[in-house]
Amino acid sequence: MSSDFHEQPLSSADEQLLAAFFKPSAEMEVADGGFTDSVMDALPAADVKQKATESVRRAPQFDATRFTRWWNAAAVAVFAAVFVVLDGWQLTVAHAARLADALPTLTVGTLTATALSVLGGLTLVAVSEAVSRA
Amino acid sequence: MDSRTVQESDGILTARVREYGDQQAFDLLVHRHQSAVRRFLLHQTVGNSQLADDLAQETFIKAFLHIGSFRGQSSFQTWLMRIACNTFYDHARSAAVLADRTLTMAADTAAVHAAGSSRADNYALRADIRAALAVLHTDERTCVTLQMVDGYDIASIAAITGMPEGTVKSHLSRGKQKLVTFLKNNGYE
Repeated sequence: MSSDFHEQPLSSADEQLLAAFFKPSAEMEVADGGFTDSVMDALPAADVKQKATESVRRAPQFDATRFTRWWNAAAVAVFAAVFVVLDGWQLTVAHAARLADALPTLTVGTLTATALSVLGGLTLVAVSEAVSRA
Repeated sequence: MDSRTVQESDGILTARVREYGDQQAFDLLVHRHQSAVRRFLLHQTVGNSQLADDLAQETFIKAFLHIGSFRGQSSFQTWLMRIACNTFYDHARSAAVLADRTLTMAADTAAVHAAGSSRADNYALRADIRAALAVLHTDERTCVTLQMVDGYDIASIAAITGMPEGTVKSHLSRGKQKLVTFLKNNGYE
């Protein structure tokens, strides 16, 4: 346009003229009028996919937890039934008495095998718990 | 409302959008800033509200897609205005010839309404503003409206437009001088 245009500061009166001229624009508020809804409707589906992925990721965690609870409850019920049917308390007392009598004569190998079997059982329980919380 | 509170609220909302893809948070951001963005684009398009709204929608979609790049170094609104500015410039470049014709026609039409008018009712005033803005070069119009309408200082205008501050000052000076001349030639004193 005008390459020989001289840059010079406006007078105070000219600044006021411009300020008054643009005052209605500066005070103008554009009513939403459904604009926000149209923007939200036009958002790409990527976010919807992300939300769906999150919900799918959450769902198996909930199912796993519920399955573990039912499995544990069923195992406890079966164990209690077997314990009652086989007169478990008497068996436990008799076995403990026999073990107490035999303890001084047990070899290191027998004690190690007993300890390993107990540790194996605890490991199985721990793995089950870890899987249910994963 | 306290501007710091607004800033913090924007920060929380943008974090929710960034971290969780929270559309409800983005809905609040759009609703809060739509007026400023649409008003800015309305002035850049010299009153073409349909085009301004299309560009504003494009602006918010870009903001949603790239919200991960918003680091909070400026206000969210300043960041949005920069996207709006780039969106408008991209459009102006792709439709330069058509835009020039439209602006020239708008200026001619509005100047007829403006001539000799001393009473500024809302409609006539909007026509005056359209006519006045149409005499400016695109860069001048952007800088002048960012300062006179949106209230940004020179540093913020430079951040929004990506121009050096010296260039912004130059556009402001030239643009304002042209506007004063236009207004005085059309009965404003």
